[in-house]
Amino acid sequence: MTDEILKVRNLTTRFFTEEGQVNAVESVDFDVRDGETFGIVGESGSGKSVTALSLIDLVETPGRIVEGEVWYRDADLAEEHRESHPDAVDGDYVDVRQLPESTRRWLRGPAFATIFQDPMSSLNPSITVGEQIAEAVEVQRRARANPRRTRSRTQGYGLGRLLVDSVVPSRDYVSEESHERAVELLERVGIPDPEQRAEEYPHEFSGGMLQRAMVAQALAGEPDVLIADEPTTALDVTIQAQILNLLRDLQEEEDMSVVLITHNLGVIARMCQRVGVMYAGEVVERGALEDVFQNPVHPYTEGLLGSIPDIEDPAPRLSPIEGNVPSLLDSEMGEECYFADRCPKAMESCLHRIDEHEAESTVDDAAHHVRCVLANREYDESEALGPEAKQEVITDD
Amino acid sequence: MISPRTLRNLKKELRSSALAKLGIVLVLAMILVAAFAPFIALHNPTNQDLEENNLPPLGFSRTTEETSSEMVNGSLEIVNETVRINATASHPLGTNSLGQDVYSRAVYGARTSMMVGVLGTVLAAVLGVSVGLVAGFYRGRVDDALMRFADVSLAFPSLVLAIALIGLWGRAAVDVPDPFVALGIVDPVRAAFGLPTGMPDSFVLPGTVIIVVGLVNWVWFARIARGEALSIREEEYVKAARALGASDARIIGRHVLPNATTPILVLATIQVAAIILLESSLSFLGFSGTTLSWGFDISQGRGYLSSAWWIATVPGLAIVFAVIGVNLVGDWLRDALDPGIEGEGGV
Amino acid sequence: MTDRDDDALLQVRNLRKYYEDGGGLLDRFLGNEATSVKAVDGVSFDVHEGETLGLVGESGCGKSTTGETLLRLREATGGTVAFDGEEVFDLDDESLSAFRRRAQIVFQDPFSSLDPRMTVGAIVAEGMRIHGLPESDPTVATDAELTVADETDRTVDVTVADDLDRVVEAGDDGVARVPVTVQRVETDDEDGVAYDATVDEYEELLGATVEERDGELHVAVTVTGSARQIRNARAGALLERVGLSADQVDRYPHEFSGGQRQRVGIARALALDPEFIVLDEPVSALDVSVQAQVLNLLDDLQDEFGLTYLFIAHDLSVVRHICDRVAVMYLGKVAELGPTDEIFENPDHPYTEALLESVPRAEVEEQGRRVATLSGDVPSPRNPPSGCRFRTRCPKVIPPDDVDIEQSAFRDVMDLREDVAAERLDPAEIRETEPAEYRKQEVPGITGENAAVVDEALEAVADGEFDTAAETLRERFETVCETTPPDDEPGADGEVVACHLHD
Repeated sequence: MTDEILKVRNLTTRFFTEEGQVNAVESVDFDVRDGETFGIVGESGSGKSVTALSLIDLVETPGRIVEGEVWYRDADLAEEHRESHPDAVDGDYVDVRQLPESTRRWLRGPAFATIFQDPMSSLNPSITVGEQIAEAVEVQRRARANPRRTRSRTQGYGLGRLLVDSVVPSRDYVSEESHERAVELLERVGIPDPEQRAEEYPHEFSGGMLQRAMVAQALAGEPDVLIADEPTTALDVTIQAQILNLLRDLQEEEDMSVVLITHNLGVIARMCQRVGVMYAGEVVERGALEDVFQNPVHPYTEGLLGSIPDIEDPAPRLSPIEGNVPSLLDSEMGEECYFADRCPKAMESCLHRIDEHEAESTVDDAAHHVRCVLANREYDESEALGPEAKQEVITDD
Repeated sequence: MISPRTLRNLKKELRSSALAKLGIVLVLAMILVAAFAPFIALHNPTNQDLEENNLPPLGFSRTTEETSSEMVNGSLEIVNETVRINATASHPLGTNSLGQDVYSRAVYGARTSMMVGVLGTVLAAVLGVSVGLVAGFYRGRVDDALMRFADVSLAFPSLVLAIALIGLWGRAAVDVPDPFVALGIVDPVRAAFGLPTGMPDSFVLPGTVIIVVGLVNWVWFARIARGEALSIREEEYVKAARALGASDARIIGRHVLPNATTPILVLATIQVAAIILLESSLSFLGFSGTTLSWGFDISQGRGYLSSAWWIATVPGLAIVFAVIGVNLVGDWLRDALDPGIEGEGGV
Repeated sequence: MTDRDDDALLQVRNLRKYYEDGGGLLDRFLGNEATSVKAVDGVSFDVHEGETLGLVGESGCGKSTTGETLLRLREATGGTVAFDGEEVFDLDDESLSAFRRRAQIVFQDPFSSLDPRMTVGAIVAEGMRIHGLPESDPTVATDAELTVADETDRTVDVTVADDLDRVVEAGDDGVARVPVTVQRVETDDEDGVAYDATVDEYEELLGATVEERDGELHVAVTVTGSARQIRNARAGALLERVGLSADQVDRYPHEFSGGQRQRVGIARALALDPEFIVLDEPVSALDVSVQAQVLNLLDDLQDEFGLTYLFIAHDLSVVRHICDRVAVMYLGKVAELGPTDEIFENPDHPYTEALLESVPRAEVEEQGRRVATLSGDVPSPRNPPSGCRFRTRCPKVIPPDDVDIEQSAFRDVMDLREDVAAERLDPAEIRETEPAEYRKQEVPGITGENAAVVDEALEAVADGEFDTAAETLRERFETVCETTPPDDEPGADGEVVACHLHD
């Protein structure tokens, strides 16, 4: 019986921009189990990156999470907040969104850690790599060392600390143990010669090495969930293979869960046990890898799988999905299914909002959810939307 | 070259910034004043009236010592009287030591500042952008040579240059006939409002000064243009143009220059302000081609600061407002156009 | 020995492109040596008419530089490129201009390859403007498809302007034809009758006049549109051809999506009617579903216009789909070149193998697949390894004949040799661990004489004598892969396997 470490329910994030409201993420549900890799796959404009940011509360104005719960399993935390925030606690699960901001910040590290696509811009170019990782380690160490877990402001590297440091430079914020642990982490992620490399600056690292360093930094807090947003997209394919191997190994050894976000279906296939497909801000299909890849129900998933060239079996012609990704502006999104204008199987019933339905699953212990009417009925050609109707869908505001 | 998105950004910034609005108001005011000077001025600014010299502006009065001699009981007595001199409505901002109306001089002075400001900037821009684009586009030795030349030019003090050029060419002052007067509409309109007629029928375009300020300020444009050229030449669309067989001239003119306009435009507005100041300094020091200039008036009024302070202060304030206005417009342009991020934001 | 393949449209021989660094005055003054980045270091291949040759490799291998250099968009440092028999690097300005019309390029980044200040129509038409197109081809005849309305009871004679082919494309028979209709109209004149001729296609650009002489009707069809109008019309037609709409000619690039912009880039390349197009990562920046659309389009265009492609990419699945032959590049040189199926199903070069191995497949079986990865990073192109450039990472690096050693152990030995050469080992650490122990850690799997030599070398390292250690190791373990560069000239069949395993 596998238990869920993370349960996301009805997550909705909107951006309130000058051009109008952008519905970036719309009612997203998914679970992440202990020790598994959950993949989120989507193209640009699908909302996958904003979902990642929403999980760790890094969405900034004009964006805001307007609805939803992020249930994280932590018995101690649940116990602590049972009285003060009864709505935010359910058994061993705590709804992170309802906790005070300082608590949420504290969770970054031990609960959630992230690595992003471009390691070069995630690291400060003027501080050595070792120093940055050691800093992360130190922050985590201090947070844990505080017995009452007050999660106060001062456990971080604040302005006060900065001023003190500039006046009394001898008292280093980062301790010797943290430096040592940083070197250990560098070794852990497969960087040869870690003591030497810790003294180097980011620009002296290659792309693959830097990404490993990012993973090391993410591991500093011993996270339960590692969120990786396109971690290998910027890397060469042979380096990508190295990094994916690393993530695999680490996951097994640390019993860590991974949320892997990418547009590359091959990477998903390599790494994930379960996957969610996102389109126009919604999770249109989710389930076990086998179900999604071999028995896709949603026409977008089908289309996506059909449009990628297969390295082992080249088809004479690809079957692309016609049309373009829709606008996420609220004013331009109608009542119909967001995929209707491009869907080869669009029917009359697709002109209304579609809820998630349970579809057949071939894998035990894994549900297969689809946001499509085809989940529990066959495609009926007589109900098909002709091209004129689809055109209307496109032009209708 | 001005895309619809740019216009939108400009309007948006204008709506949200009170300072930008203020800037536009000041600049527009200056332009209108300069353009319609013959209608707005109260008197011909060059008319002297020694009887009415050093009159204070409305609301102020001036005292002066008058010495007169009188025969009292057979002996000559010298009487010192303090006389109060009051302002008159016909000279609301007072008069200077030659009895010329301070207000009208300020109005006509706007023409000088505007013309020198705009023409000087245009000259500096044309020179500077040409040099800068070539330097940035070709790099290497051409760039080195041109930029060293620019550095030398920058080190050259404007005053020395002014003296040298005026020595060579004289003031090169061109008398430009005033279009409104030439059309004959000035006098009737003024008479209708009961204003004295007889406005100057031409104004002086101080050629040498314009050339001087152009030559002094071209370097700023060159630097900016060079920077833009350096980065734009690496853009893929430049490579694409080359692949199509475009000549260098075509690439510079059709691809580099249009994409470099934004910072150049911002610089140009700021330069206008700087050039107005420069012209004022030059005419303050007597190197202008014209006496109808704010700077010149300030120099005239310098000696009267304690007694007839308005002579220098009014043109001084005019300069202040003009420069502030132009700078604010420059800020508006810069904030609206920069960052001009053309790319899409991913969600 | 390379045979000059005479029906090869493009022949690249020994192409080199080095970037000099540190040659300026200040560097010379400071005594800094000029190092050059050898981005392309001796690349040779042919491209046959009508085929799609793929050029693949990871970042830094020089594929994009190769594509740009052979089009003379960058100054080559050495080598020759022959296009249809002419040496591209020797072309004078006029011939270069003609070359540009025949060989075009589509760039990778749809966001930066279009001038943001130009309308899409102007972008597509720019090439035509530069070359004074469309121009009339004297070998193309012009004619009209005449339709005479019944009531017209006159004989009709038609003359068509010679430059009609500027507007109308010649058909397969080499004749540019336009349909023209002549009919009788009623008028209020005393005659009561007049004749009218209308052009039924390209009405905005062509005009027809009719004159009655000696009882006969003489119709003249001329081009009335200006060059600019003709270009715009052609630009519109090209946009339609690539899947956009002609009435979008006045839109700006930022109004289009990435995939649409890339189509504009393709239309731009087609505007000059080229024979050969270098496609530099044309779909890499696009979403997967849009990628498929563009790839299909490129396929169709190749068939329709008889184009030859050089397809540069790093995505092997895409390459497999679209290319007839593939060249794999590594660190500035060609590692392997051959027919696509051959390369993908039976790769000969260890690098090709590793590359194919690393690509994740989008199928369920991928989960369990154990992927053998290459060790380390790509070496710097400033200082490429001697001999075979891949030897620092090659899992099949060849041990010397007289040494009996297991393959993986030899790889470890070679890695050790790299560390020694770069002085990356810590003498103190080795002293502490004892050379023999250290050897067992780093290079397990060697015994006997091999082990003894390594120990000896490690002892030298422990004393800080890296040079001695390097020499000791080299004496025993010198491999052909480091002494001799493998042959990467295309053979008689045009294939390359630059590996000593296949000598």
